[in-house]
Amino acid sequence: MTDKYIEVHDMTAGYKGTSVLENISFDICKGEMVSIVGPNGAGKSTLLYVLSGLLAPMSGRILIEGQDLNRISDGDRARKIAVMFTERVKKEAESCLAVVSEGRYPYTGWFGRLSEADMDIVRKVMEMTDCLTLADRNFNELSDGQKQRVLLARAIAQEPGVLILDEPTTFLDLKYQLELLDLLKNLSRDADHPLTIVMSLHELNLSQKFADRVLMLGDKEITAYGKPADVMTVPALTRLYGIDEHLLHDFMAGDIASEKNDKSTDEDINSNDTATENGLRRGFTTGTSAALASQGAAEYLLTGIRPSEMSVMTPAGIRVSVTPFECGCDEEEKTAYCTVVKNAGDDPDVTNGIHIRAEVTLTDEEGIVIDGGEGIGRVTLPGLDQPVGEAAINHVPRKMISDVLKVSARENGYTGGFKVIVSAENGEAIAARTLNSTLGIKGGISIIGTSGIVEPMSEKALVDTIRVAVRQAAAMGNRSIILTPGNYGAEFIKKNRIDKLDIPVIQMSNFIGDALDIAANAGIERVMLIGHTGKLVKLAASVMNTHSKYADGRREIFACYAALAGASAGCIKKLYESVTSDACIDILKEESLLQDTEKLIIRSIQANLERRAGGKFEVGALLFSNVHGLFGITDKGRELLTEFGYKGAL
Amino acid sequence: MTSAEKRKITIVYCLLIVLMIFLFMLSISTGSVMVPFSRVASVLIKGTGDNDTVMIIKMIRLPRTVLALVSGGALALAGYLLQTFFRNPIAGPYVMGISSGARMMVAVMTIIVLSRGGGVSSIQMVVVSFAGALLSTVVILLLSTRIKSMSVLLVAGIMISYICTAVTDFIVNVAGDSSVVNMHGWSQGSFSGTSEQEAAFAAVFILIVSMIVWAVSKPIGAYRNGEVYAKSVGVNVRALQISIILLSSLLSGIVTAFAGPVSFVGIAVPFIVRKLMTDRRPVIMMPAVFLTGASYTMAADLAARMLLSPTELSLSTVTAFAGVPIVLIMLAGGRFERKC
Repeated sequence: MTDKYIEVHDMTAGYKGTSVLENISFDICKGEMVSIVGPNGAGKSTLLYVLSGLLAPMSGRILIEGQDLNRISDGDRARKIAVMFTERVKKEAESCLAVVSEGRYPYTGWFGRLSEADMDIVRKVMEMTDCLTLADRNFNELSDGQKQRVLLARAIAQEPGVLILDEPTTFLDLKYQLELLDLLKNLSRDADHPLTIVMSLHELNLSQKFADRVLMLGDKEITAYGKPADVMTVPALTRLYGIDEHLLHDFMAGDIASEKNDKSTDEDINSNDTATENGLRRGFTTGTSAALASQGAAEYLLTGIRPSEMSVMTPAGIRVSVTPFECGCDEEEKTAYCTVVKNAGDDPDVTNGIHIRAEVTLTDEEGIVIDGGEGIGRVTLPGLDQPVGEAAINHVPRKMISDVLKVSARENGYTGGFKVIVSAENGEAIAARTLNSTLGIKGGISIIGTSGIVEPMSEKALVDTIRVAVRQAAAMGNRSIILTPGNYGAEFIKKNRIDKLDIPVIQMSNFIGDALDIAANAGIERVMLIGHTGKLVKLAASVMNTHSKYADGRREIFACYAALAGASAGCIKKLYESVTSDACIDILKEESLLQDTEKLIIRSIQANLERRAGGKFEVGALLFSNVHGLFGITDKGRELLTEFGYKGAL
Repeated sequence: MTSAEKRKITIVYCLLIVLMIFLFMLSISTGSVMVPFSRVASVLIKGTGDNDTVMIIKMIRLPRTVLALVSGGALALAGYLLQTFFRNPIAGPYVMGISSGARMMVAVMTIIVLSRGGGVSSIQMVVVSFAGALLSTVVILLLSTRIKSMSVLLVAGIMISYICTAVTDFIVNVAGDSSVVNMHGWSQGSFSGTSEQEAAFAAVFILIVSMIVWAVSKPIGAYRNGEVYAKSVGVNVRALQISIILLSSLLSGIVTAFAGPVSFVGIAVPFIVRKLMTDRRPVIMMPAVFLTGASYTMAADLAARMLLSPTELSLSTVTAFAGVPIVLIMLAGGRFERKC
């Protein structure tokens, strides 16, 4: 990541003689992921156009791999730079394979004939972006998330050195946003061909989580450029967006607090080859790494035999075993060291792959002293797990280290004490990408983890994002929110002009229970749920995570409540055999049981929601079907809508 | 491309070629004197047959049929290019006033030259007609920088068409020369009275221009994804846009020079071909558009000659009969404002 891939020197750009950007200079390294943030109209798109070579700068120079961007031929440029702009051109009906093949344009001959080699690249790229299964599908019939993946595949098929994306997350819901950025991150980390990525992003939290560097674009100029943790500070953001400071403060403070929580859970888990139920691999925390390394060093020192494997039991009850990466022993000095490579499993966070080293020295005094060495942060502000001045090694990892050392001592008949110095290779640099400096931890990473195991994130990240959205809404002074599972709900809300009510609409995916808890903690007073019957009907059975992975129960619910409403055995059987909630509604309609069943279901949903809310806020729900329209609305829901000022016909 | 797709494309192409040959033969064999296919073949291939038949075929029917064939292909291709350029399936040389512009210029020149007792050569006709087509296209382009709605732009094209027609009629009336009578048939679109030289000239010219069009099919394919995207994969968008405009004007200009304005071929044919083809890449589409346009126009010419024989209908009457319903189907299908 050291060689400069793109250099911008004193560049001014704009349209028709009016400059939008003035005298801008910066550079981007190979394999870096840079996110451009800034208010609307700050020139983000202009900058991307100039970097793509699609708009010539009015003055100044742009070098790509040392070559002047405006002097290289169109074809050469296309082989270096690929773009993915949200230019919504209606495409003719074409298969996704054909769409991705278009990316080979700069490499094919006069008539654009694709060779076998071209097709191999196309297939490889589609596999990488997880859209090979869509190859024969008509592009126009895909969901937005799928389209975006196909378009990304097309851009990568161009085999560029740099990929430029303008608001790639705009049309995507949470899940796809995270998936897309994760994919981009992996591409930028490719060992053989690291892809340099430059993108504009509206979502600050995503920039913070994914970008290597953030470029803040204010009025015609760069206001800050650097690692997210360094530049995305409250004063910088207040200035950039011109928002009231305390609002942003609340928002960012919430974000930081949540990050802190994450970290302790993140870093809590792990083991080399334990797969979770969802098929993702677990990893282990820095704390577990330190304990493993301490064990290896102590064993070497006490037995004189180079350890071949270390193994500790984590607080989560999962045993983690690893082979040492490196160890050494100096018997005369009574000191030994051992290094363990941290493996975060399928939750690659910033500390994944970091080398955690423990140096253990035998001491005459009894007891165990633990301290941090190079790359381990030191606490400079009160209120954290450790007192000011201590190494940022939290109490759980300290206990894990002590425990393994005590066991080693007992097994080897050693009665003296230990001094342990934990260090982390490149810890200081890696810490710059965490929130440590904001938390007052200086000079390196923290050794943390409460369970010792890292559970794969994806779901947690989703919940985090909901949390950020809800907190943001609360920080902006909202006391009411509307929660909806996804795009169907969002469309319904739009169609019925509920989005005009000035009540924030937050997507909660399947995490209804989590979203309600978050709302309670954020001090929200009124929550309205609006969602598709297929999802929300599950609430009647108190299923609070509606992902079908956890529970389905739709047909059981319909069958049960229809039975309570007096349905015949035949009707119940038919309901039980139908696949979708719309089919169930059809059946109930035929049997003239729809109204009674709906009433019972709605009443039960209201009761279950209130139980979860625990009196902390008012809650109501509205269920609809894409086919049948409104299915039902709870009494409380109707009240809330009226309070929100809704005057529509629902 | 999967092998199933390849097979489908091959089958469509075989059918289009067979259809074209069939209509070509039928067009030559049909008329006031019916000539069986076998004799048509022997005249065309070996040049043998009785003198009358040879004369009818070689001097009258063959030139006319060849002109219908290449004109149809040219108009369909010009339509396809304009549709790609304006990203609207209803753009075409006739509705956008491009054919009328060409006709107006030809009319002006013919009257001027004839009134001085001169004669007009094919090449002069083509040059002037091309200039007229280009004139209308440039006006449309200038309007398109101000009018963003495609439907309004099409209405503007129709207005241009009316103005050009009015100018043409005015000139024809003022001139009052008896030779202008010939202009009447021509100005409604007709392939009758084509000479061997004219047909040969038009055929060579159109085939060359069509090959050039086909040769830029690759950048046109990228252009369909938007200007920004095309530029990003290395297309010189400005040069491509100019080429598309010049080539489509050239194609519609040549046809108008020899046959007058012919309606709706440019819209109806690409529409039909889009329905036939699953692979919409221009490199695949263009030859099919040409072949279909050729067949469509030969069939229309045949109908114009034969329906009320011995009276001849004007060609545009027939192409409109078949083309307008197709356009209406497109409109009803909600494809109007949708970009193609």
